[in-house]
Amino acid sequence: MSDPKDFLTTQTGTLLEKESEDRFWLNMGPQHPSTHGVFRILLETEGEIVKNVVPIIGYLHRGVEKISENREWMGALPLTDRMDYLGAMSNNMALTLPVEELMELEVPRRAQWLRVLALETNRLASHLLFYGTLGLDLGALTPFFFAFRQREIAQYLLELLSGQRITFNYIRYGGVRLDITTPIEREFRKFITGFRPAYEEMWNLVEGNEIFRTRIIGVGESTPELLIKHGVTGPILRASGVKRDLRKDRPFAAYDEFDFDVITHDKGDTYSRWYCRYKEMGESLKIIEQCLDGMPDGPHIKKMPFFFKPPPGEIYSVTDTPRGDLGVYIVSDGSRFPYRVRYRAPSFCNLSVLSELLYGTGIGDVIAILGSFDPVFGEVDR
Amino acid sequence: MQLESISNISTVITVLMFCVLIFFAFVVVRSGATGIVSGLRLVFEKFLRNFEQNDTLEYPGEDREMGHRWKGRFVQMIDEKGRMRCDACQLCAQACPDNLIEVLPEGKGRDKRPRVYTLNYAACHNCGFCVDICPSDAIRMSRDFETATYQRTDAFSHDDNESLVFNLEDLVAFESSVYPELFDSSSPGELADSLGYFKNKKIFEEDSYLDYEPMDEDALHVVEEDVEEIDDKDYEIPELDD
Amino acid sequence: MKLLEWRVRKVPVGKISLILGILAFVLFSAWKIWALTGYWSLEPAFDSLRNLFLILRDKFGGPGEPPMGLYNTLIIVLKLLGILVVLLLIGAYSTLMERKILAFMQDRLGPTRVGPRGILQPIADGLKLLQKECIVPLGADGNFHYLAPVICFIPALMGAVLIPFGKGLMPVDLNVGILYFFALGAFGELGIFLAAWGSNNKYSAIAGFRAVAQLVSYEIPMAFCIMSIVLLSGSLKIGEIINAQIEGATAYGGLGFPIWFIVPQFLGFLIFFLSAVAETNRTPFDLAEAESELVSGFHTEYTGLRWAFFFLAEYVNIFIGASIITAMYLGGYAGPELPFLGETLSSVVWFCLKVFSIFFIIVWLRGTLPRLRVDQLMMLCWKRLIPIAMANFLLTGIFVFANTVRLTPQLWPVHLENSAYTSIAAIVFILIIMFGLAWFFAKDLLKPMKERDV
Repeated sequence: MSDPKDFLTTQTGTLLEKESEDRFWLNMGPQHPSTHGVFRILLETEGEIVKNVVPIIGYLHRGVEKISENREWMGALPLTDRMDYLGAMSNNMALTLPVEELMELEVPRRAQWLRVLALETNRLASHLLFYGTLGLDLGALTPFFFAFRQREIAQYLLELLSGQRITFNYIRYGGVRLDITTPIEREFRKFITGFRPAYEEMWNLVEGNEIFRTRIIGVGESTPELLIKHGVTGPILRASGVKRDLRKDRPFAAYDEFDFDVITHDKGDTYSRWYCRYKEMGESLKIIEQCLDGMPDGPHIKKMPFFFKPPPGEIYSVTDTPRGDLGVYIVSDGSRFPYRVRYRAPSFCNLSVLSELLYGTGIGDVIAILGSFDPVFGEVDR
Repeated sequence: MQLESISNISTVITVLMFCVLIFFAFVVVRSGATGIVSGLRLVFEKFLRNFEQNDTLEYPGEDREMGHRWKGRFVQMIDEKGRMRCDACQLCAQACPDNLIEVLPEGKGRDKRPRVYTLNYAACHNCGFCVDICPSDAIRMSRDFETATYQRTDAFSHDDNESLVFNLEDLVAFESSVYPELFDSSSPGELADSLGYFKNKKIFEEDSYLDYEPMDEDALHVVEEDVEEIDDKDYEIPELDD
Repeated sequence: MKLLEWRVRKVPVGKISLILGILAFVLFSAWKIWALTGYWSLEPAFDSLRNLFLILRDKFGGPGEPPMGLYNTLIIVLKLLGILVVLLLIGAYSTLMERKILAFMQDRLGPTRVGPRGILQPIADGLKLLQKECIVPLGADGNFHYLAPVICFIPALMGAVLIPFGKGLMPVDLNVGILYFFALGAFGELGIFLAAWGSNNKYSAIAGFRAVAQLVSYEIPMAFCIMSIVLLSGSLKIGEIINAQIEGATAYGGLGFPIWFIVPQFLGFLIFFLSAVAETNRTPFDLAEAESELVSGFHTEYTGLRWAFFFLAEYVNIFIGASIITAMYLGGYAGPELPFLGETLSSVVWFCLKVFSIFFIIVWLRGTLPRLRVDQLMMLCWKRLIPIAMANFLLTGIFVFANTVRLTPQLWPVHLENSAYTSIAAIVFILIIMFGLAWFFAKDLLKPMKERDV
């Protein structure tokens, strides 16, 4: 195996001496309590300051794209669940969009609204996890439990809807698997009324706390140009001021019928990323409420057989996940197996800007920045 | 001044000192500790609340009842008289993305029953496609998720006692214990029908949704003339000084 | 469908007031009954115990010179055993208390399985740690790796002699009490650094460097606070300090009236509290063992009983720090005599209550606050706590000086004579210095956070 240090390029364009006695390599290995998954990052630090970063991924590679080629179109759906396992609904959605476009399916309106409901509840659960783990990375134990109490309820709702808590397999080609019933709707409404005070509590716990603020304000600042150059999307891009949200720019699944804001913040530091995701939780709650209030009647799926052959062609479609833009490029050759499915994972592109941001920060800040990026290595490695 | 007034002066000095130190405390607090105090107060309220009501479900003691749609252990349902609904149409075997189900039928017509029905439970990831497609509502995902056993041999199939390839004996369960009230159906195959997953009970080759011309096979091959040859001599690998 | 409960309830004020009311009623009636039964108490039991010891000393005792009398030897051995047992039990059960308190703050229950309500959990933990395999990493410096837990743990145990458990129940009332505690704190740092260095692990090394820097820095504000208390009470002995809060010290012109030192030294209390929390490596100052950053910090490579030593040392240190705080600021074992318990026992009860409340605050801080970054921690110590501690010390000194020295009308200092001019001059002097210092460093603190350096 070749040594990763041989692949060193100077991260910021300045020449560093090859080796120096003041610097040493610290390996935050694939097993680490705070790297949000199996991620290996080599830091060359001078004391506490990071001078060089070599991120190494691939520890969770399972060959999702290759396996999809051997399963039917229908069978590729459960695989997408396991990519970004925290936002599995969005992944299901991401695969159904290009296939429906290719087959020119008209998805019924109720199905689209149900999809929005599921997607937004999933987004809420994912951002709650982000909130909890950011607190944990910084050393605070309680925000984790506050967040997970609410996330537990959100997962219970998704379990009532779809049958699973994490890998849902709920959004199918043409609609969703099962309809929402009145008891489930009642549970959703209870959740909405119970979540609001907890939402306020989560704000109060972090916002006024001086220690939190000093740990995350000013840490890992990023400019819009840098982020766009690296292809970063999602809350990280919105945190530096760019108002890009695919739910508004390229609406899919009935998002154009809902009223919500796109949250941006001016500085691109860890606080801004936290702020964007926190406020997005509030927006998701608004969307869920609107969804329940205005659910149209109709079928929950456009009936379609299990084994189908889409027409040959290639399509690229993008959806908005809690992590950014998930793009799916499919090539179909007219058989009942996909010829090629390629996923453009948002976390993969987000991580490419990591080395730029980590230069010059301390080791504690490395953890905070990585936590604020909220990567999921299932989709980085696929 | 006499000795008695000393104690008065001491008191005055103490009070002044106290006031000035309060001023210092104000300065310290004003510098940003108020947010910390409100965070502390929030956590203290949570602490007190937990004496009255705690949300913890002490799991092995108290059971967690899963929702009706929970996809747990795969079961083949029989009613109290021992009648199975499965008529070995082999759609679940076709639907399973990993081809884990094997169904071999026997009999004809209304008496068609599976002679062999095995499921390789080791690789099953509970996607539920088999349940979605079954036209006779013969299989379900039960609400049982506690599939761990104390002995290895208890988990294995009765067939060969060393693998997780379950046969019918392992998979059957009484319908009254499994049938969730959710689907609100008295007619079998409601779920598959609502999803439209089968038009009629024919295996795939005879039934296709849309007819297309198969794609031109050449279109997807890379034409070799279009690829540029990279000559290694043109690209110099720079020497790194050690 | 079984429904989950998800209303977030507020503090049940009604219930708490009811419980407090019942408690107050019970205490009041107990007090009345105690008065009616002629103030019967358990004190005579302690007196007879003391008499027993005196009798034994007359029979077997001898002065401390070698060869020591049998009595002296026995007393020493008994005290040591007592301290050891009590301290280890306190160390173990404070882990349980911390886990339960943290759990309740986080909407969960904590250990509930082992024993009723999880009471036997520390014993289970201890047994588990005893039977673990002690792995020594390859390339670790053997001697350091072996000695580090020992060097960490011994000062914790040695600090136990200072703890004023109750009236007349201090193991040894050292004449250099507070200084001894301070020296032990310094001793423990060596253990941490040996652990960090001897583990042959970069993470532990980083943690060790951070830890040493932190611990050495935070001793300075602690020293200033201790000195202020010593000025006010007139002695380094812990018994004298507690006495000064009960009866008022007049040595060196102390306050002259009894008051718990938290009142005149409120800032000193805050600073000492924060320094004690930092000295014991507790959140928010626990970057030496930061779980999320450096896996486990300086004790990453330790398993089994060696890790248990570090763990116990930390909790025993917390307990000792809490008892020193109560002794210095909260009046130690001072408190009104409780009904039926007698003087000694009620002093023990008061001491335990005070120590437990300090412990609760320390756990509360851990549950709420995130970790400080290394540079923020050092900034807090050197730029904020040390100036305030120095100012505090200066003021206390001035006050004490003002009470002992009198100026003649010719503005010549004369010891212990009365003069009105002195006191007024002292007051004016204090105010000038005070506001000067406040202006000097507090104007930085009053700016909003964005402008000043963080």
